[in-house]
Amino acid sequence: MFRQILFVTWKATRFGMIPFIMAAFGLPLLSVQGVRHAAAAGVPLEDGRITTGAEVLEWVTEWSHLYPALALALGAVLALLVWNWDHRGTHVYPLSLPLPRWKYVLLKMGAGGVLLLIPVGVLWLGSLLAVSTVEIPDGLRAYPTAITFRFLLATLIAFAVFFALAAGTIRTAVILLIVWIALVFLGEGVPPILGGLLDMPRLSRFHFLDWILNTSMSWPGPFEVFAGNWLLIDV
Amino acid sequence: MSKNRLGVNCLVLAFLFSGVEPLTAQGDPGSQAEELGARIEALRPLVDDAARRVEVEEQAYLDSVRAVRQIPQDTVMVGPFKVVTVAGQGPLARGFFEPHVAKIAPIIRGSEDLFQGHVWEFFYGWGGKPIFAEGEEVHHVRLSRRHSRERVDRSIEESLAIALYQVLPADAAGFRKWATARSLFPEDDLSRVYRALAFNHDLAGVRCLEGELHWCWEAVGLANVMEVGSYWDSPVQRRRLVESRYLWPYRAGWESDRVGVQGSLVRGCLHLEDDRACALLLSGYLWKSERPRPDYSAPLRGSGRGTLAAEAFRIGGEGSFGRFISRPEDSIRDRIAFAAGVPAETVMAAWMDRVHESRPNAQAGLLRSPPTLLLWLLLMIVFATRSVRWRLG
Repeated sequence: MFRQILFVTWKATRFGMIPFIMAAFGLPLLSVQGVRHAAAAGVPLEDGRITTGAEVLEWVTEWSHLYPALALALGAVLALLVWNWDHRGTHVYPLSLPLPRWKYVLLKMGAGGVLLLIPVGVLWLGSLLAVSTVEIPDGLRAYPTAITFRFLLATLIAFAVFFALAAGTIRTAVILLIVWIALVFLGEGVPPILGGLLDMPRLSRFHFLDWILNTSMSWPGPFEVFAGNWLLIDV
Repeated sequence: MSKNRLGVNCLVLAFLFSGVEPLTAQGDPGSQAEELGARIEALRPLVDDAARRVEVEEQAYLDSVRAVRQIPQDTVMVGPFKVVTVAGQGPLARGFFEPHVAKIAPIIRGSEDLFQGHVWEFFYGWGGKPIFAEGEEVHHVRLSRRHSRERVDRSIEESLAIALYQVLPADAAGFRKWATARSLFPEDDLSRVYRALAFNHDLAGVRCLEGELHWCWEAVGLANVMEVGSYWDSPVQRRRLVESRYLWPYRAGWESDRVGVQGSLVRGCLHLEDDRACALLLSGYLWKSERPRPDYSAPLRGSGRGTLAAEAFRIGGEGSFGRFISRPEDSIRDRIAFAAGVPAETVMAAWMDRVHESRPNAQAGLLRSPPTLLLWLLLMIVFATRSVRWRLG
């Protein structure tokens, strides 16, 4: 049964995944595009520039922000694509299967997880290729496998969150969105007023968005991996 | 304000000198010191009382000005620092400032008077309410509510660091040229120092990271004998560094006043591959010849070098900042040692330990994340499988 679900999921998502696969391959190469010569080589470039460790790190840092962004986008888009045919077909196909709902969802999620490995694998290949085409200055090291593993974790959690959201009805999604907006407004607006009234400076300083971001992006929050080190080349 | 303060100062002096008599014990320095100490102790209540009266007077003056201008606002003292804010934000300002002041309060113990003219104007909220703050130096911490708490904290830390920097006496050793303000604040991030030492391609930085402390003094520009040209251990490396530092601005036509001397050195270094020209450029030859000021073209920049002084303050603890500024005629290295109360080599070793501890770890969290991530994934699976869609029919 898993093979059939995997095949159907592949058919539903393959075209949508192509840009992400290309991006996953190209991003590491773009990260090191400026790192054409290593400092150790001691050969100035034709345009008179040289590559120092500082420059390498600067280039790599500039591109590093795109890795978590790509992971988030990939996870979200794949989750939506996985459910796309079901939503469009008003769930007739899954209802016709001799499966309970929970088992169908698990199979679907598993299939999505397997398909995620394609862009992740491509990113690993791209990273290995990228670091092999440049000479890295002394004092710096390449981390193609570490960044790929981080990318895998980030795409998995993004996929899982959006998969759970997409599994529900539009009504559920709208309710969640309204609750979120209300929480943001209340969380940002009420504490300063209450803090002033009750003379509680700690409450006045409370920032809901800060708190939620810090909590979710630090251990053991779900998005901790997004706040990690995304440098392909580092000390 | 000044008339008021003058009056109060006179009052303090009057208190201090009332009843002062010449020292009776002659000839014996030990007994003279004891007698002097006893007199100082006897005068302490008078000084404290005078200080309290000064505070009351100043507060009364500010209140009168505020009443005239009809600006309701709060003034809070957080340690030795005066913070002025809009009415109602006093406790908020105190809450924000206290953790940061707690970090530097021990360090500046005994030197609090230096910050007497410094006033912090604080506002955190929507809109921009006017604040009347008067002082020799007014620091602004005004942020909209849309900024995060971290941003406010950073702004306060920066303003306190700038205040530290401003009260440094103008001295011969050129400390202000050696370090930047921000780097003086305790607990600055040292990971960028590690990076700077690791990848700047200079011998001093790399050797320093390898544990050779005498190279660390070179890296921060405080070696006893400055051999800047030797930071880079091969002629090829020196050429490459000259290229990165000088070729581009030279081609762009910058620094035209020095293009004659500099240009010939650049050409000598890069085209003729004359290592002496490269070494001259890197040793700050032009700075030294044109301006009579200390040259700090050391591998580590001011933002990194200052963290060494911050480490000395940390080690020295109580009153270390006061000790540091008490000897303006000494070299920076000696003052760092004096502030820390330990030999300079010990400060350097402690600083290097902390730099090593701050080494950026590209693989940080990779082992810790998966187990918690698995739990979150399971939670999401539970949510997904609990969907009510199929129960609708």
